[in-house]
Amino acid sequence: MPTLTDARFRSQGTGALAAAQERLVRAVPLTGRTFLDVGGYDGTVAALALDLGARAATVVDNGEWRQYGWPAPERDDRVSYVEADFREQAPADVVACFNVLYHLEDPIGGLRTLRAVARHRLLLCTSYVQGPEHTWRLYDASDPGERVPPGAIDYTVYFKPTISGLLRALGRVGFAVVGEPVTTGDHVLLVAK
Amino acid sequence: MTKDAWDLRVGYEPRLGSIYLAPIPPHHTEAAAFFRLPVSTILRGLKIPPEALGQMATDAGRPGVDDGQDVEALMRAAVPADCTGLTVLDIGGFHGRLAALALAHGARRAVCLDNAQYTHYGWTQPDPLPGVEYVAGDFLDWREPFDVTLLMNVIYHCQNPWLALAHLRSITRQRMALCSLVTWTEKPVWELYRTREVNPDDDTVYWGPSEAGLTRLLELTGWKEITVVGKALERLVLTCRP
Repeated sequence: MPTLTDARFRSQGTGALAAAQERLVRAVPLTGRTFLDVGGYDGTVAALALDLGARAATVVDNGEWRQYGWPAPERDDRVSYVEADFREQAPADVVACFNVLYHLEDPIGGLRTLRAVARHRLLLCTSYVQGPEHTWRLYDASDPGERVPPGAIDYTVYFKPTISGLLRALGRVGFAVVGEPVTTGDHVLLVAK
Repeated sequence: MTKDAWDLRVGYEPRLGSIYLAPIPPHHTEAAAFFRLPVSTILRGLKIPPEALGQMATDAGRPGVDDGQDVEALMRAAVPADCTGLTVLDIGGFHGRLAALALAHGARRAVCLDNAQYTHYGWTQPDPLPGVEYVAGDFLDWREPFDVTLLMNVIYHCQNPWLALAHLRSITRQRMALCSLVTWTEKPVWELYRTREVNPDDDTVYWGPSEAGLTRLLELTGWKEITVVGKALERLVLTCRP
């Protein structure tokens, strides 16, 4: 059985974050369900969902990775790829949204859309900031000193939440978190319904 | 000295160097206070750093910069003193008093644009003021540019403040004035509220930005010359140019 930490799953890295994302995908029964991978780049997460029994898997990605100088991804023949804004996507049973939320100028609107397209479960992974407040920190991506980590190639990071801020946002748009969020490094992962 | 009602005494405990609050039952002296709670404990419970209280006290005593109390005065001060020949759009203006003030300052046209969200709070439609044009609608649908735009106590009602400020810039020719509630933190953040958390009668308050968070979003959406008019209570009033 392939895993997200396999070398072929380059986009997810090979460390603790990829392992945590894989645990998240494996935490939800996928047999017979449709799977949508938002911002999925090469479709590694979607491919894993198919391996775990999903009957169809789609990647929707707006191609923003080109801004980071990433090469065109190798694609899995079993996965459907759509280059579009996920806000125009049809619903699926299970939706994964890994490392997308902080690229949105309107994170609440983005979560509202995810609420509309996720029929059964949302698998969410996002970078977050420490703190007890219910806040979303606003970054100035045009300032290299503001990029996280410093010098990162990503010019499109806008808002990052505290965990409490994220939970509030999920609640505000009608999601209920299943179980406890887990953290690894500066990322938080959770399942919501 | 005794009273028929509860009394809330502010006292100072010199042995601890601590200001405290003491609720006193009717017809009793302070010796019978229900409790004596140090203000520092209250601030800690409310997650307000003591230095923020000190800053508030300092700001409140700074004449001309911050009257500390009267947010209406600050909003009036944000309307240009000379509006001769200008068009002014008062977004979320409700009664249109600021639009009327702009007319008094020489504006050739003043529009009060409001989506009537105030009905959420049980407010009734105000009487129109002479000379002010009243338009019902959402400002995100407004396309006609105006010389001066006013966005008083609106931004925290917007789910997408980024879009709101970017759109506002597209319809502002010369100057914009904004009032928002703000949080005390120095970080560039936007606090997300639960529905009806800030106002039990209002389900439309989403965000409370810090001053740094609001300023940063203004900068990111292209606004320039951001100038603070003043702060009153938890409100910040500022002006900027597109």
